[in-house]
Order: sequence, then structure tokens, then C-alpha cells
Amino acid sequence: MANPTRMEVNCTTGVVSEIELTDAEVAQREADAVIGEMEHAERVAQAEALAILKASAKAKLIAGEPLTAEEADTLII
Amino acid sequence: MPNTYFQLATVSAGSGGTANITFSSIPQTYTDLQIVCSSKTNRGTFNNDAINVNLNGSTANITAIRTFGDGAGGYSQTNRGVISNAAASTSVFSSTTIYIPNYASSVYFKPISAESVTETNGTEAYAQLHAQLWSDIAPVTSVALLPADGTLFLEYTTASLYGILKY
Repeated sequence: MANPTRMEVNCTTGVVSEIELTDAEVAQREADAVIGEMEHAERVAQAEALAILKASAKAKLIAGEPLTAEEADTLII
Repeated sequence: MPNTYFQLATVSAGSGGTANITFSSIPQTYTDLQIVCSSKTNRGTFNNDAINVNLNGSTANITAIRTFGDGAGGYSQTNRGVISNAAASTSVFSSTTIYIPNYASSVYFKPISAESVTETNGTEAYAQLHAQLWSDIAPVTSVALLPADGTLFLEYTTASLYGILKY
């Protein structure tokens, strides 16, 4: 089965080529995809954690209860 | 575009998509480079993906930091992907600008700055500022854009490379 292809444009000649990825490029892409998924999961977890902290901070403010340092950080710039 | 900007190349992915977009044999006669990109990848059921920017085909000696917001909060990560739309964000493509100053220098490392937004009117919509450093003094002769998670840029993904003169 052929490898996926990439587009390469030569900026000197203007020629656009469709080039099959080498096995090494395919392996690198798969390795990058693993890292990318980890980064995405980290981004989602970070957003979820911040949302939880902000909700807790808001509830405590309304109830007149003390905030933790982490909760206070969500309110202070 | 200002009159000091010169379009060197533009490319659009066809019906089968493309694994990456590479600008090669970049003339060394400009001061800076700018890439303007509208992209979407085939990353599964997600609204967003990221673009990895490789100079001269290198994946080594790269450090990065990005800050981004989604309307609910601001975040910071030391990851190298520049945010892009993905397959689940129906009919929308991200808008990205990538700037590479002093690309032809053989003395200094190569910084990259980028700003990007995912044009998704819904969850997981991001606006991102990105700073990256390729710790290599080699002049930049090629720039490759690759999906970070997906395997393809989808049809109609477009990237244009501009050479910029300082005057």
C-alpha cells in the first residue's frame, strides 16, 4: 500500500509536486500524532480544571466562604 | 498586503487532501517570511487540531510556548502546535498567520511567531498566540506545515508564502 502524499511547491520555479511520504516521514508523523493527542488532552484537562475552580470560587464568594489559594488565583489577574 | 510583501507561492489541497504542505527552494533575498493559512485537518471527531511548523525539514532543537483562550479562560502550554480546525468543525477553517523574521540569517537562531483562531462557533473554539524557536543558525530554505494529530490537511486547505523586504 502506497504511503500518503504531500504537496511541495518550489518557490523558485513555481512547480507544485505531489510526493509520496517516505517510511521515515510516516513514522515521524505517527510519533508527532501521539504527542499531539497528549497535548490536546492536556489542553482539555487544563480548561476543565479551570472551569471547576472558577465555579467553586464563585459559589464560595456568594456564600461568603473562604477561597483556597488556587480558587483565588482564578479571580486575580 | 503592503508593497514590501511579495507572494512567493500559494497552494491549496485538492480533493484527496495532503499529508503536509512544504514550501521549498525559498529565495534568500528577502528579510522575513510570512505564511497565511486557512486550514482544516481530518482529525476524527474533534473540532480542532494543530499545525506543526518545521524549518528545513528539522524536528530537532525546537522549543515553543503558546497562550490561548476559549472565552472561558486563558491557558499557557509549552507545546509546539499552532491551533487549526479539524473535521468535526463543519464548513469552517481556521485562520493562521506565521511570521519568520530574519529567515536567511546564518548567524542567529530562527524564531517563529504565530497567531491563529479556530473559526468554530461552538465548543473548543480557540484564539492562540504562539512563539517558537528553532535553535539552528542555518538559513531557512524550506518550511513545512504538518497536522499535529490528524493525518491530512483536508481539501480547500490553503497556504500562501510571502517574502517581506524591510524597505
